[in-house]
Amino acid sequence: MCMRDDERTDEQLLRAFHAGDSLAFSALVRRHQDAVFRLCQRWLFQTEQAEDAAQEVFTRAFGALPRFRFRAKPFTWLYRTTRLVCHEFNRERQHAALPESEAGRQDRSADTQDALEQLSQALQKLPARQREVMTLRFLEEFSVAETADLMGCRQGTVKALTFKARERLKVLIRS
Amino acid sequence: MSLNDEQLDHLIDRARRTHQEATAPPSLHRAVIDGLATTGRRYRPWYLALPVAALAVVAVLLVQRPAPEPAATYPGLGAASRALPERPATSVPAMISIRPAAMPSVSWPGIPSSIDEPKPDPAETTGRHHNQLMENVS
Repeated sequence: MCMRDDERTDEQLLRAFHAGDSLAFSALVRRHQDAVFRLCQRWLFQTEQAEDAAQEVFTRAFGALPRFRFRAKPFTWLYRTTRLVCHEFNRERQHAALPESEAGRQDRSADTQDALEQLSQALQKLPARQREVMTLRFLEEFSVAETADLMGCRQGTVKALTFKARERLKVLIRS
Repeated sequence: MSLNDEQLDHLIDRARRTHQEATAPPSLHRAVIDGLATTGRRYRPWYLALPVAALAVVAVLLVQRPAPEPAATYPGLGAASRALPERPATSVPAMISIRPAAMPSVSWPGIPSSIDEPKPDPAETTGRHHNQLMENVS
């Protein structure tokens, strides 16, 4: 009996893909495309580039699938690919990240826009690791353990980075 | 004046809701799948490369295999014969046997008739030859 894609775990989908189920990769893309796209948007600050980067992430993931040995969680592996791709995109641009695309601001109220604008600008001023930890912990709502796993560091490091980032944000965002 | 924790949490909470509302454009999935299809990239499990790798290893081993050892030069000695040096192409007995056995032996005073004969003492030979010459003169 064939299980539905949304009932299978990431590991099951990848193993099915290794066994020749070509639709399993499509299901993986559908499952994680929103998260990958949001992370790209958060790091690249441009919707169009985020879309290109997300596509590049999945293309590279597809190419690297034969080497995947299930030592890490599939999403951890996908996240690290996302981070690498975004760093490369940022390096190519060679200039400071833009706040947000115009299209992303259109249907928001002025109040929300102001608050988000302030937070977005403050996040940009954080060091890369602090920005990453804030994005994962508070915007994507990963736990401390999951964030540590994704970032490849200890949980204590995540907590310390979170504390420093929050303190810095409090100063950067004036009440 | 900086924010307090409560204000920051409230702001982050609103940012989170907005952040999570963002979804990937519907074209992304199609772009990924179509992109993989048009570039012709196909999934090839790593174990499919095993037969090719095995053939490559065998080919390398065959090419690098040393030439077969020559047969033992000294039959009967077994493995010990391999440690012995190879027999030279021109051995001393072969050189001696070049001269026919019927060849007349010519002897001159002071000159050995054969390389097998020991060389005479040069001092003695010279003295004897000198005496013969003096007898002839007298």
